[in-house]
Amino acid sequence: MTPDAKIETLLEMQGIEHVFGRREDWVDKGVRLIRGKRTAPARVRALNGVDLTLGKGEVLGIAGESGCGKSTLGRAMVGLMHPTGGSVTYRGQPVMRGRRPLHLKLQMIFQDSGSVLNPRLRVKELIGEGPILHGLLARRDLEDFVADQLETVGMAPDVMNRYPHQFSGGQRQRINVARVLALRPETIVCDESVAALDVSIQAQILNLFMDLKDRFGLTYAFISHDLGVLRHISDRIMVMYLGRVVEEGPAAEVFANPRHPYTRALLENAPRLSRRNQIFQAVPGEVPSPLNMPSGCAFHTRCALRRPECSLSVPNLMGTGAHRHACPIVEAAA
Amino acid sequence: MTSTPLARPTMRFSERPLGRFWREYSQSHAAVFGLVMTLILIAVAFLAPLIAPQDPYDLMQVDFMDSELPPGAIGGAGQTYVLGTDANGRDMLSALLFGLRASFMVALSSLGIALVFGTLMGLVSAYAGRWVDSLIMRIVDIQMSFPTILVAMMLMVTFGRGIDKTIFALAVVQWAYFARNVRASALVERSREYVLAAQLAQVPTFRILWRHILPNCLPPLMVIASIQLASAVSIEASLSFLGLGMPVTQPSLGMLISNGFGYLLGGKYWISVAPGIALGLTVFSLSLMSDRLRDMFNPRLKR
Amino acid sequence: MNRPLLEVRNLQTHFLTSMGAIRAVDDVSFSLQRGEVLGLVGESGSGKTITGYSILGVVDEPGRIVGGEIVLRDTEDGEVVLNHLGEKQLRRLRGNRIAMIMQDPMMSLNPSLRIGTQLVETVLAHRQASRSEAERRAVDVMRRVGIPDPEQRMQAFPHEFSGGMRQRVAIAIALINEPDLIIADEPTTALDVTTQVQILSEVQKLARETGTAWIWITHDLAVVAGLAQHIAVMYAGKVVEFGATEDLLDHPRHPYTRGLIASIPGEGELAADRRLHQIPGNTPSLLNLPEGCAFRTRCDRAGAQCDIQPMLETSSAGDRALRCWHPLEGQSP
Repeated sequence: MTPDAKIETLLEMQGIEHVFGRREDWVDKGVRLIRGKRTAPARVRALNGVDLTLGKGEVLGIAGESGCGKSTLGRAMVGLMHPTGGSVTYRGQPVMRGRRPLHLKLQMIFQDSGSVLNPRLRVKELIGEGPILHGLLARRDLEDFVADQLETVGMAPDVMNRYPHQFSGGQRQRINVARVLALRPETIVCDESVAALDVSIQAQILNLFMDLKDRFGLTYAFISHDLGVLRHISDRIMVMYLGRVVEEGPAAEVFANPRHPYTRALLENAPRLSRRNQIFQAVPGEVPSPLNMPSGCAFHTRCALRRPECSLSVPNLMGTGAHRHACPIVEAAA
Repeated sequence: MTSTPLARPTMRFSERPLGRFWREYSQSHAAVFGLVMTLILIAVAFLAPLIAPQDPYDLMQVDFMDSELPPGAIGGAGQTYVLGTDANGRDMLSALLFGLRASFMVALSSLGIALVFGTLMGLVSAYAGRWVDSLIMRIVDIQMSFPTILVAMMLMVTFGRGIDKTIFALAVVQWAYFARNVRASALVERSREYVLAAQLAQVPTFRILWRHILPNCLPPLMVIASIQLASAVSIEASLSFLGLGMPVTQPSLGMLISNGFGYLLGGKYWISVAPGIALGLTVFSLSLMSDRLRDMFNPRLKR
Repeated sequence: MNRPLLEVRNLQTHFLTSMGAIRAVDDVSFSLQRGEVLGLVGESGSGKTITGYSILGVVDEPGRIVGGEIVLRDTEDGEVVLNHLGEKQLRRLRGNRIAMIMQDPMMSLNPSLRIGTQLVETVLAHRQASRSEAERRAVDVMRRVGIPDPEQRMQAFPHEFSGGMRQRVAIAIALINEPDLIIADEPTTALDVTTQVQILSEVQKLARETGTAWIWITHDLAVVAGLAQHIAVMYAGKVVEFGATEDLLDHPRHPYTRGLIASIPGEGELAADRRLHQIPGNTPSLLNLPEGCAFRTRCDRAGAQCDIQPMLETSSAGDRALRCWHPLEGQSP
């Protein structure tokens, strides 16, 4: 499914840039010069000109390794932080007002790291807090409501008086999904939401996500390092490397026919169940530090197709139709 | 809506937060001893008017003829002085119980004030950030760069002795520990996923602080509170020993020790030693407790 | 076939807690040839890590090996039963004939010592060698695990390395005394895909070159599909299926193995409805396991017989073992 004119655009991001750390003011500069340091400290460029649209009802997969900026992007999407450049709008409205998120319809599900649920609150308080605050629910209906929500995510209603530590990771993530659903969202950004779960439990939660999508017409942006998960769940996919999108397009097409050398390296070398006794072929080198970005195409330090001109200018996304990538060398060869 | 009859909370004690806390705490016998001793000491201190043989402040009950009697001596009216009497013929056991009461009262009230004020400052500092944070934390730094006892002495010298002034001085020297600690834990909690989730659910800031951040800062706060209680008791004793703390009409343990000090070399050891042991036992019990709490909340010691 | 390097027979490691005995490892058996990679696969709580710890003899209190034998052979067919050795004898073997690599390399590296010192000390602890000899060896092994400029990097501290490089250092320390067996516990789980592939490719090369046998403990079947010759699948403290990689993955016979394979997203043809095969229910608590086969409450083939614990039956060829009353007939998942 490609986003065409008929599909309503929910979330739109344009030219998103984000630099971590404060810009130096004159006091900082003075202190630095007194301490004898001539160059300003490097700042981390987490995002560098990312454009994104999310159409109603689609599942957008965002792939990348650690440090590629995908989590920062996710937080900027829902309004948990202000990117230092670019605009984020949801249904045409900015996603933040002041320092706070503005859209209740836009929610996020985090990785289960043991702190997705407030350890001091019972399940019914966790699920009921938001709806009561927003007048979606009368306090006396709390228990019926929570029982209903728990059933939606496949849990028995009698767990509502327990605390989060009494559940396994998979159950906690179900409760978290119930908590988010109770706010009646329309779009959910999932940041590594199944990464910490065992395979058999991960399959259950992924199926739950798909069931809920069908039932409530949800839209997902699914951030993950796991290409298998993304291949399974995404309609469209974006591959990121060091704060930039290097390839995007319909998932089936990108997985069947990856164009950018980085995407190819990821897809062709990753361990897969079907690759028995494979000879592992590694991309050389490591992801460069975002403090010290390579010039030009950020991947050129590790790329097998590298040409001298790769270090000169930053390539833009190119290609025809919905499947686009940022490698002029591949494009020229095609 | 479902109409399933819902099971009411039927959790066992051991599964509730307090039960889990106790299960872990009670693994150390020394700590259980410390807790039991502390509770006993607090109980006898506050029941002092009911259980003490005499009211040491009521001059009608004090028989000057019975002065400086050793422990176990029989007084003129036929009563036994279990811990002996002081120079004025006051029953040492009664003086000690009332002294303990004064010490605990001052320590606990100053702790309460410091805890509430410090926690408030710490939360504000962590959540407001920017210049508010800088301002509060610089005050904390300055406060903590002076020795505690010195600040307390200066305050007492300036304002004069008295219960309220002692409580005030002790609160002033303690709040900074709470503020710094609460700020540190609140900063950690603030970036946790459940707080971000609450922000996305548009829970008001005050409610996030009160309902989500504060309860999760409490465990380390308990450790600081238990350490500070021991320290408040001993600072108060030091002040009173130096004659700067409690008024003469309401002697605390420190003053009792100080009173007996002059008789120590004269062989009348009990006047100083009994309150000295009581003070030592109090601080020791509190320390056993705070050590255990600290170990429990130290993730490095968790296996 | 030679006699195996390592034989684990009916290993039982239990944790005796106030809430009852936790049978973390309960009747685990497998064997491993010299130079072979065995994948030990299971979900959290399956006992795979404790099995590794048991072989090394580093199970923490209140855990204890309460039954079974762990037999390690040397080239002359001399045997030692590891779980009968004293701490002193075990210490002589650890880091020498058996080594371990952890998921978090910082667990096994001392943050305040230079990498070179740590490598050299590992040599000197077990070998009569001069310092310069040990240093030569250290440089050599660092080069073999793919650390660039090993001479300079010897002087660096662990925090100066990236996650992938640290794991390489941990592998170098494990390899330096040319052990017979390395137990690797999820060593690439925390790493990025490209770094993971780098490490896997180094390990693959080393396994071929050195004749060291590896036990690769992981939850990720895809990793061992590419790396291991044999796979043992664990569930609730027991090995439920064992076999040659290809055979086991193509023809799983235990319902759990089949379920696990089918649960992996993004493999093969995508289902039109975007649903994965799922194993219902949760991993049971080890404190409260069902009677009989621990998997029966989640199994679609369970019958009355499953109330009785099935035995691990080894095939006549000795290359396949299975613990199930109602196995699948070797069909594709």
